[in-house]
Amino acid sequence: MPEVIMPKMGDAMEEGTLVKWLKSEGDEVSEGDAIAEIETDKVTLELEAENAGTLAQLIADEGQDIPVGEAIAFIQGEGEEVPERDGKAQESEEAEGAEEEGGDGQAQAATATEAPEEAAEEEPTTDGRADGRFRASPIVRRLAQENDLDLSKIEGTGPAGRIVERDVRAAMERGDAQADGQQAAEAPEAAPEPAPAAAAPAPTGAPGTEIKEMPRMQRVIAERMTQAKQQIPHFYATVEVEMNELMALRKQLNEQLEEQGIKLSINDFVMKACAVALKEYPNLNSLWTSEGIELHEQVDLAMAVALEAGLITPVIRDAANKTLSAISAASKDLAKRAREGGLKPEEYQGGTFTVSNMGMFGVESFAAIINPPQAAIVGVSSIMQRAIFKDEEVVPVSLMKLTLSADHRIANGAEGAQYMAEVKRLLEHPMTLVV
Amino acid sequence: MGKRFDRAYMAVIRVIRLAWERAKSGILSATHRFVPRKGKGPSMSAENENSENGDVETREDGAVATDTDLLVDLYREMVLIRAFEEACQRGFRQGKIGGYLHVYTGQEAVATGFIQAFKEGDKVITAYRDHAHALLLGSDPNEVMAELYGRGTGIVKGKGGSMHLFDVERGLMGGYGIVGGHIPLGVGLAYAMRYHETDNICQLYLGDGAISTGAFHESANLAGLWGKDGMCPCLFIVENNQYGMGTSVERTTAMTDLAAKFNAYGIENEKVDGMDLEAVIECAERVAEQVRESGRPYAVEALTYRTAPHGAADFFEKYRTKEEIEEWRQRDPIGLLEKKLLENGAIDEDKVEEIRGEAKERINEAVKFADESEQPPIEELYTDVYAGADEYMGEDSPESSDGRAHAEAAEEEAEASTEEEEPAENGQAQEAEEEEEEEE
Amino acid sequence: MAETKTYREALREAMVMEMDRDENVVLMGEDIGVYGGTHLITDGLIDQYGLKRVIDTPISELGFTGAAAGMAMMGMRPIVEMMTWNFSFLATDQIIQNAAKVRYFSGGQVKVPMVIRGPNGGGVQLSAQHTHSMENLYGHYPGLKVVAPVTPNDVKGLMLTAVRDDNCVIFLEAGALYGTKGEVEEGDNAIPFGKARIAREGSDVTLVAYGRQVNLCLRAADTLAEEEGVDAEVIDLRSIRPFDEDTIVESVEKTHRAVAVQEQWRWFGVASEVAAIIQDRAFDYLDAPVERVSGAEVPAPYARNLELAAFPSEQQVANAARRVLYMEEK
Repeated sequence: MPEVIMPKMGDAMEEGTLVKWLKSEGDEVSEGDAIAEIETDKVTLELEAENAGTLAQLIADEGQDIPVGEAIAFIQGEGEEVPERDGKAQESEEAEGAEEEGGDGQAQAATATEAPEEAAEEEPTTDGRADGRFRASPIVRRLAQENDLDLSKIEGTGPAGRIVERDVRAAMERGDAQADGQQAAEAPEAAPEPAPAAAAPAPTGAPGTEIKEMPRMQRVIAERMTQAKQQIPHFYATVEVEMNELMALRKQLNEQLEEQGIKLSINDFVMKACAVALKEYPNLNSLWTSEGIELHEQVDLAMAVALEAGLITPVIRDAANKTLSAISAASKDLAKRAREGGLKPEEYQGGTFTVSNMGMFGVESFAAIINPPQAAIVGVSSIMQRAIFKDEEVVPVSLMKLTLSADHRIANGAEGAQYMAEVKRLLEHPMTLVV
Repeated sequence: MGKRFDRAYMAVIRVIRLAWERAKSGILSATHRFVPRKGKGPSMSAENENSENGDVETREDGAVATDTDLLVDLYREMVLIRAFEEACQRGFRQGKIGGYLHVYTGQEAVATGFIQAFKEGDKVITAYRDHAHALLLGSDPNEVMAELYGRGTGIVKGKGGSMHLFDVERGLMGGYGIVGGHIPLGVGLAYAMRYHETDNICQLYLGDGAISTGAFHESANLAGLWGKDGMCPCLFIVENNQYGMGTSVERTTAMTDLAAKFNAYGIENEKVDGMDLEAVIECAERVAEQVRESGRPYAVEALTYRTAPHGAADFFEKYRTKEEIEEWRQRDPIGLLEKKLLENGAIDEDKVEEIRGEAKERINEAVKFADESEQPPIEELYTDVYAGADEYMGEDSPESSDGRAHAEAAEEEAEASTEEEEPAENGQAQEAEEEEEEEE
Repeated sequence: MAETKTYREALREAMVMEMDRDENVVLMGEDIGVYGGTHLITDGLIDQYGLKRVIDTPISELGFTGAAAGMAMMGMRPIVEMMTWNFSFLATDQIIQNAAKVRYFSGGQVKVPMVIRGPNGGGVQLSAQHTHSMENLYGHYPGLKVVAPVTPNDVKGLMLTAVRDDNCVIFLEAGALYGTKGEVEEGDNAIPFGKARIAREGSDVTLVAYGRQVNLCLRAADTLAEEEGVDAEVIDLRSIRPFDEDTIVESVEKTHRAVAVQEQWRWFGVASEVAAIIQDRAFDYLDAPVERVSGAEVPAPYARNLELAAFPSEQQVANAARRVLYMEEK
């Protein structure tokens, strides 16, 4: 049975007020019918039914504040009886009823007669399935989460149809319980709200194909990136930086530093510049939190490191106040250990700003996805030789494109543009980064 | 022989005599004292002063000529105790002192006299009317008052309050809140002293109410038993202030001779006039020495009277008449001693004023100290639950979420209560002062 | 080195070791001296240590328990025998109001290093007034420590620790097991409080118990292995306060199912505490609700068949295990 939820109608909206029910329980509704009046901090509007059916239950009361995403009613579709699983529970309970004690017997009776109501009272599913109401033991829920299983596909053999550990282990062995969007296929209209993980089609099973199981890290990345790209209103700002002076300085420095075993990379300069420039643009060095924008004084600079199994972003703490050589040493060490899998959680958590460098791959430019809850990320592209006009003359220069991706909820375009101009200025006057 | 007995004094003597005569009637008349009394002739001891013939008039003969300077010192101590207790009552009314409050007013001569017989290494254990015992053993009035005020500087760090004063270093093994509950402990303390081969004794104070508890009878039995082997140097001091809370001795036991109760357990015993400091001292020094030497327990019933209410919540005192209180007040131990010292010229009125002034000043200082001290740090909630290096904190350790919740809640509550109290305090304080004036 | 000894011998050995080591250790109790002790734990010790150290007391639990607390406050280390723990109700004022709390309300000025020991629990047809399990009663009070050893080795090791502890230790012996034998380590095998013992390792279900019920659980585990192929882990708590949460939690994280067994009544019992701890700390590992197996909610009866029915049985434990394993009961 599809839920009617409190919709999110603005970036900052966390809850809405149910002003008034426009339909009563038991009313037939068609798709698009206004069923309730909703008020946010900005507007009052009518909430439309996304499904046709009978308004089965009004959960929320008029005047009540409801968090975004929470069910306020259920719509019972045509021909939809009480949800299948409840029926099952009923059956097995009946079978066992005779053996069980009186107290439980009463509970069963209640279940049988008030099934729709009870079902509605149960917690809304948190794992994205439209119909996730089932009985499962805690370890089962844990296993399901860890292994990305869809519990609705597993038949429970415990009391009242409870899914227990052995059921899950058996299903995992058979390999037929992966959460794969089957649910959506079965009930296409059953997911009115944007699902956190978009439903994917079933595998084609065509010859020459194989199913590659996603490593856990990749699954997490997939989830987070989806979330970031869907939820964060990105805007982009690209600058072209002349790198001649910086490259000359770098060469000079590296010659002098060779004895000490230090070799500064272009990226070290970029990271330093990005970090230093943030001083004037605190909005970009911030986190999007439940309480609001958390501005950070210190720049804990995350650097994206590609791994075989995915991607990780180790953090250089207080990068703005670190010397180039310290940044260089830290980034080399972190990257090395990241590839070896030797990072501690505190070494890759808690970044406030990210730099992602693809310069080694010859890309001309690219825009990165923001690493939530951070406000911004800078994509570093390759240095290209270009001929440009200077004082009416064509001169060869080394150019590098930097692209800022920023969260428009936190910063606006002008701010991003000014910040990138500052980064450009620093990189084009690299001595400022050295002294 | 004293020349003068004022009428009130005689009235009180009649009360005492009446109590004894009741006690002697009935069962007691058929009972012989377990311990043959020493000294059949005219006795110099307080024991006979209050003996069966009730010949109180021998008292003045019997009173030992205690060193006058000492008496002045002890007078000073009693005045200090009185002032302390009055300050406590004020503090209670002002809402500065919580819980129960039991003052020693009227009974000062008992502990003052017995603690004269205290020697280093001895132990004192008593019930909840314990302020005087601490002060007499030398505990700092500041710390005692701070304890009552619930401060971290209190003598037990604000963890016990009025009923649980401890000063182990000075010999005070505690005040205890359950009537009779501390008596077994005292007997155990005494056993340990002998087991450790010292000549120390335990002064075990109990009230008339405690005599009716099982703990008393079991402990007295043990003490008598262990005393046979010289293993129980325990001096029982029954502070018979006539009332267990609001119920008179006559209404709690058919055999009201409390000293005689000890006969059942083979413990020598006597009575002493607990309002007469000199009589108490004489008795205390004599019997303490005997206990010390013999390792056998001894019991003294000190007849006294609590002129203050039982506790701070004892408003109406329906169980006794104003006249009765007034009669006993005439025999107030401080008043009696003061009169005597004035008569024999040891002090004059100026000196009396000076002593009272000093006491007041000292107690004001204690109150100020208590008032200005900090509440115990919230971490103290979890200390002193267990002894030992591996102090086990239980599930509620401060590190646990529960523990933090407790601590936070406590802090919030404390804040809230101080906020609430502020305005009320002044009003109460004012009232209290007015009352004081009326009383005077 | 280990030697086979009875529970009684091991217990006595620990007390003798401590009496030899520390003069402050004395024994007190009813009929422990001349009579030799109702359970013969202290037989002959009065001749060995004399009247001052082996003290026959009158029948006055409140009096002598309180006196022992007083001795402890003076630095002695009395070991008080409750002829049976049922008599300790008479002494609860001294145990709870004084021994457990005096350190706290004295602001840490005194300590009460004493042990109160004796047979606990039922099983020998002593009926209503002489059959109680005291773990939950005494385990409730901060200031007390409570242990309940079941093996001869543990009774010795825990007694050594109890005597050396600076607090009042409630030492609950498995009275029905004084004659049982087991390997006992030679010498000083002091066992720390707050450490449970894995009495049997297993992977499928955790049975948690203490005292006599540990043996019951071990038998049930054998049955489960034979009949169901189930590999049960049995945890002997040994110490009720302090309580070893970690061992239980670690086991349940492995097995995902738990049964807590106690001889005492169900309500407000140790098993309830076990269940609460598991749901608190191992919730996400559970595959079934935690089961409790407890005594029947009646005063202990006399007749043998009724008494047996009033205590947890091997079958009840095995069936509880089957329930949490979603198997059919037998």
